[in-house]
Amino acid sequence: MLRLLDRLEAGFNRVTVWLARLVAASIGLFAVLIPLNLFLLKFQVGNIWWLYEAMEYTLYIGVFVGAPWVLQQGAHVRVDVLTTALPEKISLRLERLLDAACAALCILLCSYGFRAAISEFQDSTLPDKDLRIETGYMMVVFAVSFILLAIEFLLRMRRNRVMYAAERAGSPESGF
Amino acid sequence: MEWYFALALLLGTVCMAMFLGMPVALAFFAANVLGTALFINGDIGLVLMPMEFHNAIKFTLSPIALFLLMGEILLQTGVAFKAIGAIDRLISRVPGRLSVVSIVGGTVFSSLSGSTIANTAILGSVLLPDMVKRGYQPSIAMGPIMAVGGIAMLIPPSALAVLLASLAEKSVAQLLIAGIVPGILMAVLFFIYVIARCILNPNLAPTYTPDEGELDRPVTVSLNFLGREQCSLSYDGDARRFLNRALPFFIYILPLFIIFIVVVGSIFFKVAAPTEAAALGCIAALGACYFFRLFNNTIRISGIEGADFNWQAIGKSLMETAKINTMILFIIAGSLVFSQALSNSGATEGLLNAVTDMKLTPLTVVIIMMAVLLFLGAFMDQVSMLLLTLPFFLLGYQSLQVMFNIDVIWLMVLMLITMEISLLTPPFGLLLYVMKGIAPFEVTLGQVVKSAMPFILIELFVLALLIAWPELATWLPKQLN
Repeated sequence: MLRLLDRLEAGFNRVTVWLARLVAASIGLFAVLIPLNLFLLKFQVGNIWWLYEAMEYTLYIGVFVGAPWVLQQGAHVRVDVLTTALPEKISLRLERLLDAACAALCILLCSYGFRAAISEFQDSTLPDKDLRIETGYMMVVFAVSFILLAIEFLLRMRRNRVMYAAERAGSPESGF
Repeated sequence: MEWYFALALLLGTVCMAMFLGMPVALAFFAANVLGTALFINGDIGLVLMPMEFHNAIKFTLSPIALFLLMGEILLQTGVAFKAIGAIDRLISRVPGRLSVVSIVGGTVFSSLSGSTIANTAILGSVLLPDMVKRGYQPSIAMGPIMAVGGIAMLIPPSALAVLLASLAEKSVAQLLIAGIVPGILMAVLFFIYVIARCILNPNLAPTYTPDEGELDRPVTVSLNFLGREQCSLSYDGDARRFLNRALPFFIYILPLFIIFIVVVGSIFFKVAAPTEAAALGCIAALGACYFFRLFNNTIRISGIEGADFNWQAIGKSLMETAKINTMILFIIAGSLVFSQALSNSGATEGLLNAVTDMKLTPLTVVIIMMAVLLFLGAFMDQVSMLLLTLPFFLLGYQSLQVMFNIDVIWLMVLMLITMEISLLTPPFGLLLYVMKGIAPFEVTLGQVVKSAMPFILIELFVLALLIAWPELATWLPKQLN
């Protein structure tokens, strides 16, 4: 049973890393396409009409599908004044409790995401844009993202206390 | 429900969840679920809530990722480190030399990177070990590095400035330009302070003669392509010291200034919008890194090393950018619905009316706003405090900015400086922890705070100057019009 869970966790981690790579690749792609579009416009030889709307969609999708990987990296911003001040044993219990609460919250948000997706698909809602992707798909992204986040929170509870200790001891590396 | 109960419930939920250690984004999501259930049509509101998250991620937020990528490219390819080395070689005999190098280098790197943490981490890891070796006291070694790290928040391209202006739906270009004068002013004051303090107390930073043996070597240039050396030149004349000192500056620093000119110039002269300027900056950064790579093999100059510009470095830059960008935008997505819940509950209007009834002057309101930010900054990170206060300070027609007719660009610059100060204030000043993490010696948080204190006072002085003379922030963006 434990071995099966380990394999599932390894598979899950691979999925989140690949999703993060896709997000990173999309940022790189836009870093190239935006100047290209600017030159096309300035030299009046056309333009990539869908670029900015595609970027808006990609930003949204990227944020939600990338969030589980960011959590895995321990890079979501947290105020750890309390957890670092408490004795280790109590702090570990608090961390587990918080992970459980976050997992429950993510499952709740996921359920509302799916309900929103069903509602949007039933109405065949389309956004007020030139590049139209049915809104229901965007809601599916939202729901799937929160399933992945819930799984990651549950996996954090399963992992050993070394992870929590390492996260507390590490200095911040990401941010503005 | 009375507005103050609603306010206490919503803000209390976010603050309590944050204080317990929940990721900030999830703390906002928790308050959203509660706020939407109570104040926005219960279950129907909750079904509609995911749509609001979709609407929260707008195109105007895209420069953040691109500005972060620009800085990451320069960081991961090692170009930033080389630039600091070049400044190190250029500055020779001044009191507190390495502290001065950190201020000049930090200001230069601020103009290339939107990240304060990256700025502090680079300067700290490059300069601190040398400072320790030279006998610098921690107070003069750590303080300038942390303080100048925060300047990245003001000097464009600042990712936080883009975030602030985008969320407030104000001009990103004007805010980016408005940060230049206060940023430079702050750097100059840091510079003067370090020099003055090291003259008054030379023990803080013992004077030493930098190892200038390399400066007396002949300057050699060789061109290598098609697998062999094509030509080679050597100069051993009187000007070799000058050339050995100046060449790294011209080769490492000037190309980096081109990036700054591309980004700021294209915005200032309205050639490009902020997103386009940020993307042009990424291309210029790649170009600069490719240029530096030529000095690995193709062009060999004595004393000049090329940069490791390869696909692996670019891949790492992209992954780091994705990480930071996702982290920031996820919090933004969480907070947007929060401000709607605040508004629908009547909390925003109630609080703003209460402030208006106090018959305060606009200046008093601004000072109160800064005091609130300084207080929050002691416990929270910049994005969280921004998103908590924005519904009251800047968002919409019922904000304090509109009600008291406060110049929006000026107010946003003041907010940026206040957030910069809060990066250095305990117990949660982020840069204090970055410094503690990278310091090559045992240091307590108290020592780190003590070393930051004079620079906090300088930043407060600049804040006071800007409150007294708003033109320091507003003059340059007015030229944009």
